[in-house]
Formats: sequence, C-alpha cells, structure tokens
Amino acid sequence: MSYVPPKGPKRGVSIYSYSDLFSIGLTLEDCFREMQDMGAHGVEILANSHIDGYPELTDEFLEKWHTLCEKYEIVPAEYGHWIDGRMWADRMLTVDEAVAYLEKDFKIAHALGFHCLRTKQTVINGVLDPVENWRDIIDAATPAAEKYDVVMLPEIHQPTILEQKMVDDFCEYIDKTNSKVFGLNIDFSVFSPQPGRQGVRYSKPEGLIPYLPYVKCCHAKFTSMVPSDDEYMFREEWIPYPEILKVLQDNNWDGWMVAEYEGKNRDDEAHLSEMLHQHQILMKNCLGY
Amino acid sequence: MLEKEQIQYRGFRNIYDGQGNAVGFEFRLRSTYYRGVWLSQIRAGRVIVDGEEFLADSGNVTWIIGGKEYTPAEMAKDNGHFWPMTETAVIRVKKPGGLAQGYHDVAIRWAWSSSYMPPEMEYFNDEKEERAMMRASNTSKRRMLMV
Repeated sequence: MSYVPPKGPKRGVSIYSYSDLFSIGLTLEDCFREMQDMGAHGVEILANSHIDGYPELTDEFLEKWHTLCEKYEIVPAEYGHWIDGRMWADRMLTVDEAVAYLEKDFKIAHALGFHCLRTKQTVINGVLDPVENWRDIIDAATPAAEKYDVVMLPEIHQPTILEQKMVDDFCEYIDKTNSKVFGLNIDFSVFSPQPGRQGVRYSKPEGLIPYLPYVKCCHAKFTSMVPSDDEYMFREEWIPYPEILKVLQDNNWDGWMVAEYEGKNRDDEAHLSEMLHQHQILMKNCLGY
Repeated sequence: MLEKEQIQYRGFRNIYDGQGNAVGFEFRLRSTYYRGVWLSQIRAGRVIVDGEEFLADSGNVTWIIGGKEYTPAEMAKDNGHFWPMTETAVIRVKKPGGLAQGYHDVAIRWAWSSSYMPPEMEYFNDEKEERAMMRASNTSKRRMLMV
C-alpha cells in the first residue's frame, strides 16, 4: 500500500454516506475520487451494500479494490457487516449459523485488507440491547476472528449512550476474556443532544476517556452543518466536534473516524458533496491535519 | 443506472406465451434500503394494479432475483441467496390478456427485516397502506404507460 497513515485520529468516509446515490449507479471509484480530493484516506464499506458479487468475493472485485485503493491512496478502515438474527420470520439464527455467516465476512474483510469490523448484533428491544446469548456468539466466533486478524466492534449509537449497562457489559467481557477480537465502535450520535430524534439523553465528550482503550474505530456522524466565524469555519449543529476530537487527540487515541452523513437530501449529489466537504474541513481544523 | 423511484419505468411490459398471447405483465423493483438483503429478509406482499389485487401467496406473483424465479413462500424459506441493492428484482404477475395499452397505477407492498433495529419495527401487514419499518414504506407505487 502506497499511502501510510499517520498515528492519531484520522479522517475517513463511510460509503454509507453515499447510499442513496450508490444504489442508483454512483460507483466506488466516484466515492474514492472525492475522498482523495478531501484528504480523507480511510474508507468504511458495508459488505452487504458495496461489494460486487457479495456474499462471494470475486477475483474481479478483489483486483478492482486493490487497484482503486492504490490509485486514490485509500486505506481500508472499517468493514460494516451484520448478524441477521431475524433472517427468517419464524425463528432466530442459531449460534452455529451466526458464526458461519461471520466467518464468511472475516475472510472477505481480511482479503480486502480490513482489520476493524463494525459488527451489528441482533437487538431485542427499543433500547437496542443485544440478544441474550451475544457472549456465546462472540466466544464461538473468536478462533475464526483470530485466524483472519479481525476485531468485531459493536456500534454504540443513539438511543444508546456511553453511560449504559450494555457498554459496560461489552468492556467487562473484553477485560474478562482478554479478547483481542472484540472492541467498540463509537458513533458520535452518542454526543448529540438533538431533540426529537431518538431521545435527548447524551454523553459528554470527557465521558469517552475511560472507554478509549476499547474503542478501535469511530463513526463521525453528522446531520447538519452550519457556518462558523471561528477557526473551524464550520460546525456540526448538534455534535461538539472540537471537544470530541480534542479528547481523542489529548489521550493519544489512534484510529479512523469515518464520516457518516445522515442529514437531509442525501440523494442530491451537489448537496451531499458540499456537506462532506464542510464536515472534513471541520475535522481537519480540529485536528490540525 | 437505476431510477430513483422504487418501481422502475424501464422494464414495465406485458409477457407472452409461445403463441404470442399476453399471459401477464412484469415490472422491475429496486430497494431503497441502504444494504442488500438475504431473500428470507424480504417480506413480500400483494401487487395492486388499478385496484385489482394479486395476493403474494396466490401463485400468480413471482420475484426474479439474480436470474432465478421465486414465489414469496420460497424466498421466505431461502438460505443464502442475496438481493444486491444495486440490482432490481423483476416482479412477474400472471394475468390472462396482460395489461391494456394506456395508463396503469401499479403498486406493490413489501418490506424487509433489519435485526439490528427494535423487533417492533419489523411489523408488516400488507392489507393496507402503512409505514412498516424505519425508512421503508410498505407500498411502492407508480403510474406508468403500457404500450
């Protein structure tokens, strides 16, 4: 790989931001080109969305992937995938079935150069608690995860916030098992007091500090950008980016922050590009690079 | 490229038997979900054209995905076949004589399961038009001209 990323918090983009255009014909190369324009070198792809031929990994896609990463200086940051526990309407996926699906993804992710996986678990209620046997699934998937050198990261996302039992349960599991294949992905929505969306509980940026050893990747969520007269040039209307990124930098966190645009008009090319550019400028001005 | 609407104009046509008799019609459907789905995640409901209903389990409605034709019941039991979000499903409906030349109001009710969302969001009932799950309407419709 020609591009060598620096240590510290790094800027990237999740192709999820392009979903509404990708599904009607925007290509991976179109996305990579814009990421290079913005100096956002880390990419998150969603397995079920952005890999031609999924659930198989074809030689054609593998070659295209490596060619595009090289050409546009893109580094695989995070691979999004799912445990579709309610795949069938009449019964839940068994542990063995879940592990078989996970292993397929581990193999593809590894071949594409990903280490971090955003692993979506099956949830059982409105506050997004995972299935009761989540530990059994992670235990059973651990040998395969070690074999393919990947780390599974449940995403902590509103309405879940940092100060919630689920998050402590995940950390306790990691401490107890000394797992190297399980960690956390923090979606910046946990810091958003935006009312009327999914509740108004939210975490403070300093609340992140004790969790940082477990955090392997972040979703740089944004929904609304506003101009700012200060050195940042733009602000996210609800999410305190300068404070969050300062916590990451001051505590020597090393990893990718992949941009997830979840605001209006995602199917409008010009608007989407403008939002992505404003958001990258904000992060660049926070980090100083 | 695909059209932004779920029901695609390109692909709306009658289908014929070997003798040239119209035996039904078909149209292409794309998913506006941001990820592709396993066929068993698809909750396929009825097709409605100009008020005439073709029920999912009537034997008159099939979905063609990846070149293979499935009844909704076959999709519900499927294990391992996948519908990429960048490809359309062809919805094929048996109707002797097909659809007449002119405008038709074409609709299909359907949804998908998303296991990372609260289970109550997966409620799906195709008896009436309603919101089924986050970001999914259970009814896709479009007025199109049959030639």
